[in-house]
Amino acid sequence: MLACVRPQNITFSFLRASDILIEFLEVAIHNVLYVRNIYPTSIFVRRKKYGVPVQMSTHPYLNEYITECLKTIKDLLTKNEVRKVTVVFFDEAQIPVERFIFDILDLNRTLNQDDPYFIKGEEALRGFCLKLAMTGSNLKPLPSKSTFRVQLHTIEAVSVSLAEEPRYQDFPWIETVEQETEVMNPSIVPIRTLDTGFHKLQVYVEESGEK
Amino acid sequence: MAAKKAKLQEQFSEDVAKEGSSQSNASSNIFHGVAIFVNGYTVPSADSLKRMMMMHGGMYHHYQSDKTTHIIASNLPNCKLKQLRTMKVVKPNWIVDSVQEHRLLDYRQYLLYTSRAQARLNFGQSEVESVTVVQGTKTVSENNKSASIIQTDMSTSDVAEEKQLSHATARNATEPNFLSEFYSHSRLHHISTMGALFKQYVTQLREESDGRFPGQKRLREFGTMNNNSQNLSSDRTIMHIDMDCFFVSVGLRDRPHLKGLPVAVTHAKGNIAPSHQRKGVDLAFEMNYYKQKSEIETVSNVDEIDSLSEIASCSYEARKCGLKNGMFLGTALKLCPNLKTIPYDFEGYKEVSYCLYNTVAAFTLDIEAVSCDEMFVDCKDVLRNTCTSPVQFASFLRQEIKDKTGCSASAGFGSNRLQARLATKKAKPDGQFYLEPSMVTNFMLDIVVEDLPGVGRNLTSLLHVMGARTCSDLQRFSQAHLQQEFGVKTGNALYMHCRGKDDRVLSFSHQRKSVSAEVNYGIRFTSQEEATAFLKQLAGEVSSRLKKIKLKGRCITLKLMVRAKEAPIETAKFLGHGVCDHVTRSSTLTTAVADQDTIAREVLSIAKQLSVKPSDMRGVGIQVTRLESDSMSSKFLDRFLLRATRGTQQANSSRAPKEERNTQQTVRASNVGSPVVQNRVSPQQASSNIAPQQEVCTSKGELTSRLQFEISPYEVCDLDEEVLAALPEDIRQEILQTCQSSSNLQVQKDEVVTNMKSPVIEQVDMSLYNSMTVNQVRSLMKEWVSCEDTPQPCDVSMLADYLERQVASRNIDDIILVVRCLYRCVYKKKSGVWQEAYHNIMKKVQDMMLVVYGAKLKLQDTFT
Repeated sequence: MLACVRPQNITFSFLRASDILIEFLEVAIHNVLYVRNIYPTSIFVRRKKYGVPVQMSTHPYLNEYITECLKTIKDLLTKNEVRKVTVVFFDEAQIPVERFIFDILDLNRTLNQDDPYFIKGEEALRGFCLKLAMTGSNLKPLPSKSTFRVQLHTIEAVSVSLAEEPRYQDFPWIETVEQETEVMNPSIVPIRTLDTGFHKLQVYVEESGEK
Repeated sequence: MAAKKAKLQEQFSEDVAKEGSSQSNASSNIFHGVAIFVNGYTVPSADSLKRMMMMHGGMYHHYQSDKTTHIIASNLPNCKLKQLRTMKVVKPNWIVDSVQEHRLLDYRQYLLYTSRAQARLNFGQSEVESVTVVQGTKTVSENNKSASIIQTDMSTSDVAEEKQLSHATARNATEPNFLSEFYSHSRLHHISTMGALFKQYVTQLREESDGRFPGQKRLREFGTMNNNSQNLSSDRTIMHIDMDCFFVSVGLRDRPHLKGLPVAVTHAKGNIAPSHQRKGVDLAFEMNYYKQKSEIETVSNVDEIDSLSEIASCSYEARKCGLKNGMFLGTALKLCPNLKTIPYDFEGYKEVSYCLYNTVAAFTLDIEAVSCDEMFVDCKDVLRNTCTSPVQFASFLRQEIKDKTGCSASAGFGSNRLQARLATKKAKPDGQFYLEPSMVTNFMLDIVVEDLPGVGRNLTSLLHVMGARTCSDLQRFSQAHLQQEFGVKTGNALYMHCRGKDDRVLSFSHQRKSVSAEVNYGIRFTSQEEATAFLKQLAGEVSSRLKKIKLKGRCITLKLMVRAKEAPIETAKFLGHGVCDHVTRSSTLTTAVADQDTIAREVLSIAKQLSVKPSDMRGVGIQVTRLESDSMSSKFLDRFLLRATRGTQQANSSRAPKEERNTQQTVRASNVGSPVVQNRVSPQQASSNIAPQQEVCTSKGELTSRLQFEISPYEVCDLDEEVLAALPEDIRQEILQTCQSSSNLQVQKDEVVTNMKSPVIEQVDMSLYNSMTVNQVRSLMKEWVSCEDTPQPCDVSMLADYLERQVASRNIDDIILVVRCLYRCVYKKKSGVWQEAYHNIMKKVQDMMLVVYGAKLKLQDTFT
């Protein structure tokens, strides 16, 4: 009955890789929201992840949104259909002013024999969390009443399949137009390029010149 | 009452006058200024004491007053003792002995109790008396439990005694001056450092030696006097000198009356009853442990009140009673009740040891120091130079040692260390023995295995199990069997040694291997802070020792003695370490250190890792190994740097062989040959040197060709004639033409040279950029910006190329670091040209960014 039949060629390690990446994205999105200060800090609690303190939202609606996004991303990841995940911030006029780009450079790696306990990988993730906390100082503050959206950069066919997939009916994905994705006159602040052994991921911020 | 006292006083003086007139011959004035009060029953009686005082100028008080200087008593009950807190309570023997010796003796020898309520026992006193004293102690200490007693010093001499009183305060390691106290009193510390001290001393003597040995002349005279030099020894003769029961004989120098009696050197005075049963002491457990461990009778018969201090050395008379070094005093006293104990005399040991070494050094410097009283001497040279036999040499030397030090030494000769040592054993006491090569085989047969070097308790018991008690037993085993049983090294050593063979050579100059400080007495911490503070102190001690000998170490080891799980909390020996587990851990540093802070930091971090409960620590030691001298470490550094640069060079060449070769070629070209020549010639000649250069030149493009161009006018004067001659006619003509035309450019030459240099260097850099880490690129860039006034366009384009390539490979993390660094450098430079160059580079980078990312990097682009 379930439409999401796993393709036969997916290996165990690939699944694990997507799990790790999803977990990481969850941590990252929560932290980005915290760092960019678009919600009151009181909705965040401090947790420990990868051996460093990270911030997690406790707001049920916000968390639901993030979880639903990640569910979809995970499905797409297992099919290797995601190119980028972006967290886009909009100002009051719904013009994108800033976006955090998680550029998935490489995901299709097999299990890394050099790092069976994922120590180096975790180190990379830890490094990112620390770097992210610093990045706030390099960016201009967001305008008040900003909002955010999670956007996925995928392949053409996905948008069709997403629309038809009954599981996503409660959490529909819509295709965006360029005005809603592209930051005007952008400048890039690199955050970090992570190589966990399972995936290579480049994270950077595009900041609008007219913020 | 006062009147009565005054009257009694008067009466006494009258009596004195009367006595004085009647017995003027016996009277003296030795007790002048002494006023005694006799308290309780004494032997001799109060009355006879009074008469003695009368006759010898002292005062006798019937009632104690503030003028009374001493109280005479044999025994005092508690309540009286409390009252007499500050008074000197002296035994009646003081008076008697003083009268006998016709001088006022030091009352401190006769104190019934010291001010700290410590009983003092004098050995050599009658049995009865010591019993009474023991009882006295008991009463006192029951009363006074908090004042536990440590004897930190054991000298009976007056000075030392005073010291003891003042030092008796340092109790355990938690107190601040514990460490210094410990090291000024610890016997083992003295003895062990003396070995190292003399090794050092021999090295020093060897360094300072002028090659003349005054002793040899004397010996030659001695030899010719006895003129029997026919007995010349074999080529190699090792002598082993060992002082006879060193500590005892040094101690007996000032105590001639004890000669011939059983004497032991120890710090304790005898079987002092335990001052109080300390809580948690489980003597039986510890004894059991020691017994299991040693299987030797040293610990047998130890009961509750026996002293647990060890005998450091005992005389041969005492050894006859079955005493051994290392026995507990309590046991020893049972075996030999009339044993005399004498205290340590560290200054004396040092003095005698120096004397011994100096004496031997007058003959030869081929000395290997073993300890303060023991050494190996290679006497090949001495015997040859002086034409004496070993026996003559030994008797001469021993006589000299005896004359100078007053202590006897034994000497053994053999053809190797082992034989010499065994010969000494046979020679003892006060003798000499020359184990001639012909005797060795028979001699070895009767040697018991314990006497072989390296055979300790463990090995002995193992060998006994195998049925090997003497070397003759041991000789029956094959080498393979021994090696299989004990490991390759030990097995081989046993095999050789039991046949009297020993290939260990003497090492005359001593190289220090480690420096350490260890304390395993008085370690009772109650908190982590105390332990930390103590470790810091100990680190300071190690550091000061390192500095004293001008060394630094790279490996720091922390040794802990931790109370064994089943061991009782309080040890039988007061503040001793009891039964312990040994924990050792070390850490190696990248550089050699000697300062307290670094050592302390390392040690504390190790301690943290070990996480031993401070209250369970019983011993702490810090050892520093892998020593380097200060000067050596800088040498190491140099060598390391050299290696490092060579390493990178190799790495580069391996990574980019082409570029490297190209660089070499180019440099070579600029030095010797002409690039014109090369360019022209190579296609025809296909010389192996030149061909690759050609390849690279063409592939490298602009930069290289620019280089070539700049160099070409330079090759004027030093054309290689041979090369020229070998060239085809038309090419030679062309070259000569070029030379002539460029000789007109002589004026420009200098300028060209300077111009030429930097591209060559930068070209090396170019190849480096590829294999360099970001940090290396940054430091290179810093150097570049700070060195040059104006940026060379080629360098600029090269850096831009590099950055563009990085953008293309999406390395924006690295780029941002490099670019920010460049910005800072240029900003500091405050030069318009540089800022322009920066902008040029950034423009290229941003263009590339737009292509790859569709966005520019966020960068500072103004210099305001």
